[in-house]
Amino acid sequence: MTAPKRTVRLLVLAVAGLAASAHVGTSNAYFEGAAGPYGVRVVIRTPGVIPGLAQISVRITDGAGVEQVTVRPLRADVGLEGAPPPDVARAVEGDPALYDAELWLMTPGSYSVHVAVSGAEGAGTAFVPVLAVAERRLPMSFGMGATLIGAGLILFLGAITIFGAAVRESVLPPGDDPDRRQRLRARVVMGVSTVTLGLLLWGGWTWWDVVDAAYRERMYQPLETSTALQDRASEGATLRLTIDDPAWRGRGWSPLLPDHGKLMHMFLVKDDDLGAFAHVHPVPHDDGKSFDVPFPPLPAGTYRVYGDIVFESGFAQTLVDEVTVPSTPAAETGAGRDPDDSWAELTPRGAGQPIYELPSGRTMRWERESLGAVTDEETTLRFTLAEPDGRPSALEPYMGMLSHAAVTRNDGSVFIHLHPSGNINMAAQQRFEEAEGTGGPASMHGMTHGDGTSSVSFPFVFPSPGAYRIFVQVRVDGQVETAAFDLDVLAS
Amino acid sequence: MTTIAQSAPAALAPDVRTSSTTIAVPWYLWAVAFASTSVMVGVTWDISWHRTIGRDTFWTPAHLAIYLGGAVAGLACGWLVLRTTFAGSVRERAAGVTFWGFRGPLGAWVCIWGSLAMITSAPLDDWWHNAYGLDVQILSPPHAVLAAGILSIQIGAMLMALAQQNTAGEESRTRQLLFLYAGGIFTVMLATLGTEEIAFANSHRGNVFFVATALMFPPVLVAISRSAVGRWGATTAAAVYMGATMVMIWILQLFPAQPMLAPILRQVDRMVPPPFPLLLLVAGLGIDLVMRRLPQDAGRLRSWATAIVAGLAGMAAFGLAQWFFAEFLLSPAARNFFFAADQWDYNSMPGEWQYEFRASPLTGTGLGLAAIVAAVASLGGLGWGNWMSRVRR
Repeated sequence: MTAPKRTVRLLVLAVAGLAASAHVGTSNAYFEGAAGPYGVRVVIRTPGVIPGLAQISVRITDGAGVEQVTVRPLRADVGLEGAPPPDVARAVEGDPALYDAELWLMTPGSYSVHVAVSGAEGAGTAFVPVLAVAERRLPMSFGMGATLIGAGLILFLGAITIFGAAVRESVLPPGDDPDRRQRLRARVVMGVSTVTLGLLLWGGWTWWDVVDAAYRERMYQPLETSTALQDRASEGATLRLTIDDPAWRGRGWSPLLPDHGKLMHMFLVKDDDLGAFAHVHPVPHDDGKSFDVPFPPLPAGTYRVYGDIVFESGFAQTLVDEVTVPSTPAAETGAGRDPDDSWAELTPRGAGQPIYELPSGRTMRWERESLGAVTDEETTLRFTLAEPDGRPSALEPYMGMLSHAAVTRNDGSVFIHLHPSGNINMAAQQRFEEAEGTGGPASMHGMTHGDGTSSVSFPFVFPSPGAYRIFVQVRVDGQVETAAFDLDVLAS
Repeated sequence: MTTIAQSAPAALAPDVRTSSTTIAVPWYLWAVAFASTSVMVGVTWDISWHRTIGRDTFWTPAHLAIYLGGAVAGLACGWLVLRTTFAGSVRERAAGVTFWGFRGPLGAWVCIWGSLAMITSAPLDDWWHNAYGLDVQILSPPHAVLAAGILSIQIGAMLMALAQQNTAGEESRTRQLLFLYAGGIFTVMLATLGTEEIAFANSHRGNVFFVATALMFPPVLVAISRSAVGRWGATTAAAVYMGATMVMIWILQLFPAQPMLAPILRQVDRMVPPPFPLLLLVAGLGIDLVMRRLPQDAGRLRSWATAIVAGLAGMAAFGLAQWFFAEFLLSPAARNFFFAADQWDYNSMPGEWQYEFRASPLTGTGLGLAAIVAAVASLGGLGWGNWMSRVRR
């Protein structure tokens, strides 16, 4: 890819794919887990502007006799002590397991929604981390613009008419007619007020521009990065991601927090056909701004690079970049390789095909709820792994989770790293739980151990229509298996 | 409206109604005075709401009070204009000004304009919240449109009372008081617009405070002093400003409330009242004492000199009084129900800053600039006041 093309491409990724919750293209948060004795699936649709109203839905997936569901927003620095009283979520008519609520996110930064469920089986809580960031700017519709211009014109002409009447007639005793001089003065005043009001309007317009520019400045932008491949004959190819942004290590950024024991989770997706995928874990370089990882033996081409990091404040980011690999790196040496790194070349069967045959002979089946997928609708992505002989596989934890999935829109404008517990950042969740002295292992209930199951499921909401690919990773017999499925998502 | 003057000289001759001191104040004067008050109460309440509870909807009582004021002013004046135009007597039509073929008192048109501006600001404000997030500051472009509408309603109320005062003669005491009352409420709204810059005692020894107050208050106080029938116009309007603000301080604190938004940095258990009013009574007194020496028919130079002296004297007395009063407001003696100097927003971090002067301190340049601004602003007030003292329709 040529340099200008690459710049444009990255710009598109940065704008279309403003990352929040450490994901690109959506800052919505999904969580599936436990709130005490109850299973819950929480979807937080973030407002996109701050201060703004987040839409929260809580589905009770396990447990009966729920009497009340409440939600509270916690900002990372003040926690429950600085949280408002809980809001009672409304039961959604026609769906007894679903509750919904709205919460204001007032200031940019790291929040957590504290979900409390109470009922016949007792009470329980869950923390769902969410990032409050300004990530969009609403364009004005033609109708709204026309209405405002119309009203503005009436006000403008009305004000000038009032100024004219004030000079021409208002000081006359009732019944007297204005003379020529008064009429002339009125015309002069109307002319002067036209210019003055015009200048005032121009001032107002400039003010609006200043506010708009300041808002754009505050809008969330991933840290600027550069990525390069360093090919050394002895050690193989090393991928180095460098954070060039002056804000890095500057004021406002706290140190990084390990997530599943890794400071960075990096995903590589081959750009042209999405035919190669890697989930690797770069380690910090001595220079304090770079992260290195041996490039896996994948085909030559341009790769999309997504690096997930989380700060101690609970604020998570996805660093977005691209790297071109001129030739397939030399065979894997294993030097400096994290044992949890994994990669694969993939050839899905086509959109909507539910079976993926793995090189090991195993097959992964996508248990689709329905054939179609639409945007903004809560859905569950469920997959089952079978041994070559058809027996259900026994899944093992892979970096503490039963499975990892990455959902990407083919054009790269959406990229989300999912776990069975959703897309929330586990490190951020743990941070909130520890700060408030609650939760802990309860909310990871059922997520860390396979318990012999062969199925995994992920809560998800597709943020925009288009062609998507889902990469699913599980571990069985100590080996990481990566499968891929394609689907077309329609607008709701 | 040549035809009116030509065809109805008899109808325009003074009749028993206009010369009588028992004549009732027209209903629409009460309506716009009520509208003006309702908007003022609503705005003060709404600001308190945002400082205490934080979360609001379209239907909060504070918002309803603002809408009610806008609706009453717009509907009352709209009805007055329609009635005057299509069913008014010759006298009533003659007492109005022409606007796009319609007739009505100038103040009514200003009120209608204010209502339309308030209505226009609503969709713009709503879009603004969706585009840029809820604006929690007082001054934003959509709020400026709303403020223009609100101030127009206050000015319209003043003008309607003035036209009545100026045509009814010296004995129209109620109309005179209604004008001063409307002027006082206008001053409350003006001061409210500057809340973030000038309201808190922490800023009262800073350059911004002196220059901003010199710009904001001399025009309105000099104008009211000039156009009032009595000798204490500016003083009365300033007293209304201080009285209305203090009443709001005392009433708001009576209501229990709790913050509903995170982060809550301070536990608040009742409505946070506005800061204690500025001592504009002192400015009003100073301005009135000088302006009363100026006859209505004084020459231009004398008028200008008097207005400048009035503005400078009033603002100097005010600045001096506020300088020391601010120190009192920051002291423990003011941390009580009466002065409410210890009441702060739920999302402001508690700290020593609450009781310290924070603004960049007043300098010689700042003081000089404030004096120049006050002098020019007083001249503006004189022009406005001269015109207001002649408004008859």
